[in-house]
Amino acid sequence: MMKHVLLKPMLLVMVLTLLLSACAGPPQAVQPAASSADQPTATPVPADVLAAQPWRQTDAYSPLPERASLVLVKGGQENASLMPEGETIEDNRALQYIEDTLNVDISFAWVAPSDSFIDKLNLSIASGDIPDAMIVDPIQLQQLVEANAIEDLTGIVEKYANADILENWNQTGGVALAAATIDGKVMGIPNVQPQADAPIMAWVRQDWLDKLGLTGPETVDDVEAIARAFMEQDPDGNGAADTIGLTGTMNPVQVPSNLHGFDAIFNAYGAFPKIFFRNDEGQIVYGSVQPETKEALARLAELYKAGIIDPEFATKDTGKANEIIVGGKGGIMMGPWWIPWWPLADSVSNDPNANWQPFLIKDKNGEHTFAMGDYTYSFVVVKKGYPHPELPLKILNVQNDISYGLNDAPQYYPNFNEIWTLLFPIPFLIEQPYVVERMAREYQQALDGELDPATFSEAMKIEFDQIQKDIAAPRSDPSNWAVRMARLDAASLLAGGYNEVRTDPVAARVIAVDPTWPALKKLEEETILQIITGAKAVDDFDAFVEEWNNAGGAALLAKMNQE
Amino acid sequence: MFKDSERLAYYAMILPGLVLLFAFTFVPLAYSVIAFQKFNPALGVQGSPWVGLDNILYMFSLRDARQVFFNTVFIATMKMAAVLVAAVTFALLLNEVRFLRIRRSIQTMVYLPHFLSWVILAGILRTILARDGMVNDFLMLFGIGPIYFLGQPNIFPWVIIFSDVWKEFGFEAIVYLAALTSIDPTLYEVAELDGANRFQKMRYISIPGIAPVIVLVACLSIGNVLNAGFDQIFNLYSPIVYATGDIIDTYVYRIGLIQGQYSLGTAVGLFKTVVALILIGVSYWAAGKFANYRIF
Repeated sequence: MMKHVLLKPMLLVMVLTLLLSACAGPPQAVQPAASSADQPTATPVPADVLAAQPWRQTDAYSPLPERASLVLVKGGQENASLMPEGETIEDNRALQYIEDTLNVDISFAWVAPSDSFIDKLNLSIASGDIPDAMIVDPIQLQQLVEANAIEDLTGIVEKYANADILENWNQTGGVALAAATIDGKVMGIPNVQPQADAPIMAWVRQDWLDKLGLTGPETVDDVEAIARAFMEQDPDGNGAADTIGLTGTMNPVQVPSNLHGFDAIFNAYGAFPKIFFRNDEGQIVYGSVQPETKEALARLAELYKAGIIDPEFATKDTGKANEIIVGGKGGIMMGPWWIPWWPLADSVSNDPNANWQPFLIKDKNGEHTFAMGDYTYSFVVVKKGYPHPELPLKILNVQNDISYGLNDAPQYYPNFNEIWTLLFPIPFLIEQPYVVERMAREYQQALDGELDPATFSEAMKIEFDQIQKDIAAPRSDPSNWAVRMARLDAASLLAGGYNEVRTDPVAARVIAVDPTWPALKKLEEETILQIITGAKAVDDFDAFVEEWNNAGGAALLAKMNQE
Repeated sequence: MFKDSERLAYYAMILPGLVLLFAFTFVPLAYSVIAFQKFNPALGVQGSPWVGLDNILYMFSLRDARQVFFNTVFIATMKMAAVLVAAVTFALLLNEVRFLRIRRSIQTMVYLPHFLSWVILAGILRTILARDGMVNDFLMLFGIGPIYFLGQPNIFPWVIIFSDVWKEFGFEAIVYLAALTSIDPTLYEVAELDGANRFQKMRYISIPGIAPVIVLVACLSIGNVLNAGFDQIFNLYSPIVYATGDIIDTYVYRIGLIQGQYSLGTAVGLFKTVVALILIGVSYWAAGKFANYRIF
């Protein structure tokens, strides 16, 4: 009986604990991670400094007349250990500089690990508990506008953005701001991503080409001839016909950054699958259902049938396809300018003779034309009713100064590139769209003695040093080689110029929230793979186009062209 | 049978399970109402506009819906049937092994895969089923292949079914082995006296002896006809085999979570729930009728 006497109170405690923990939810999550009491005392910019530095009085940087507060949310908690001694996400010198410059107290409603950030943000949005400002994707932007939950930033974005940010938006030809404009109102601050990731190049092993007496490819025909030679003439000299001609993955088309993608082959046929572009009549059309795409598919189906394309590409992911390249079983890889870092550097460390070189593929007209990714895919929005809707943009101005050492922004951190997403309250980039090409030109000028490398930023100095080292002793260190190949050789090819075909910003916004889009996407991805692998005949493409139109595609295009 | 105080202790023991069940099964069920809304997270469940049966009707108009439903039922049914046959056969054969130590070690070996996650097993399968993998190397000895196991829509479902049998039959067999041990040994002794051989004993004693258990397991598994195994298929499929490999769960995952179509995803999920509820009713009725199995 003794045990029963003890059992009851114990059970009661257990039950209560369970009920409490079940009802209370995550107790830490909703509390401010750093209340204003923890913040160092406010030190607004003194009057004499304001007078001495006129930029501080411009719209882009002027401090608020009275100390205001701004509540944000933050991801990246798992990397907090990278922060310098004594500094945290909630309290660091970069954040302090921003707070002092703009006279604002920044705090975080919660700080979460990156992989649960999106879920937590969605939960915050769903429970109506949205932070004063946040970074959202096109779907969330649309939903927040429909819910009338965010501030209209029309007029604010152009007035308060600093010259750098304005210039970066202008370089997109107005696309960035158009992407953030819904019903004529600018509802978010658009990002700008570098554009160099989209053009897909053919990376070919020069050492194999030399051995077989071939030259690098310029056209799809050349790619086929080289792939065939690599398969039949044993370039690796191991006596076995074990070389894969052309690698691929289950995503034959995907813009941008498609490793092992066939995008460049489609583009060479004037086909731009997955892109909603404006045709010569100004109408938005979909690249995947155009006759040019059928032509390109016919060629790819031939290549697959001839065994040139990896017979198992359709079930491989990027990692599996990389294994072929890294293991020395393939001499051609399609990919963007940055693949020397990954996976080609691994190929070079396995085999220092692996001299991968980039080549751009010409289209039917002898030009370089590529399907491009969107300039803009995320937005900073401001909660409806927040009294200083211009403040988040001013924070982005100051962050830009800290990143590039402009105005008198301090450069505290040697590992800035690693931790900037932790330091900045709004980790958001409005970059120069053609920064990769610009850097390539500057590196080349420095090599030619036309530019003094001492004028480079710290990060560029490090890279320039690596480039010089690899020129002195090619491929002796794979990481130096990767920098040289990506930043100099591949980026210089892009700097030579190319034509662009991109998705119209109106179309990008419509498909983000269209209920028929997932089914259309599935139909398309399935059909493209089936045609390439021969499971469907090339002529079945016409039936696919009809089905695509009937399943909502035609209505989708009509909707886009109405807006 | 129990005193009240003892009963309380048992209830307390199942409480954690009930709390979890409530939080992760019943609460989400209430949110199924978003299947009848144009759900906008920023407006919440209360604020999102109601659209009646739009999502449900759109779902049935999709070519995908029929295909995905058929794939699910086909793969799940074939899996259940194949695992059942394999497990019963294996249990009967293992029961004939005389050396206890060998019996034990075989049993342990065959049920080990049950404890591995599909993420790991899928990686292994991808390697051994590759063009230059073990299975194709073996088939080539007989001049067959190479077969593109994971990339051919007509083969893919069978890869799913047989790999599931390989993973699960050992574990399922435990139930039948237990049933076999409960058969009265005197029956076998009597049969031996009558001159019955091993196959006759299996045919006339072992199989009838475990038949009620086989019927029970078969009836209860009707409730799972719409569970074709998300983990397994998600880790093995690709767009090339959508036609025969895409099931309800992978479809809901792609449209609901990846593409953000919460309402449509929920509509499909709700449809699955309703059909599953009916099937569980059928399964319970069948188990009661054919195997005399009752919970209440």
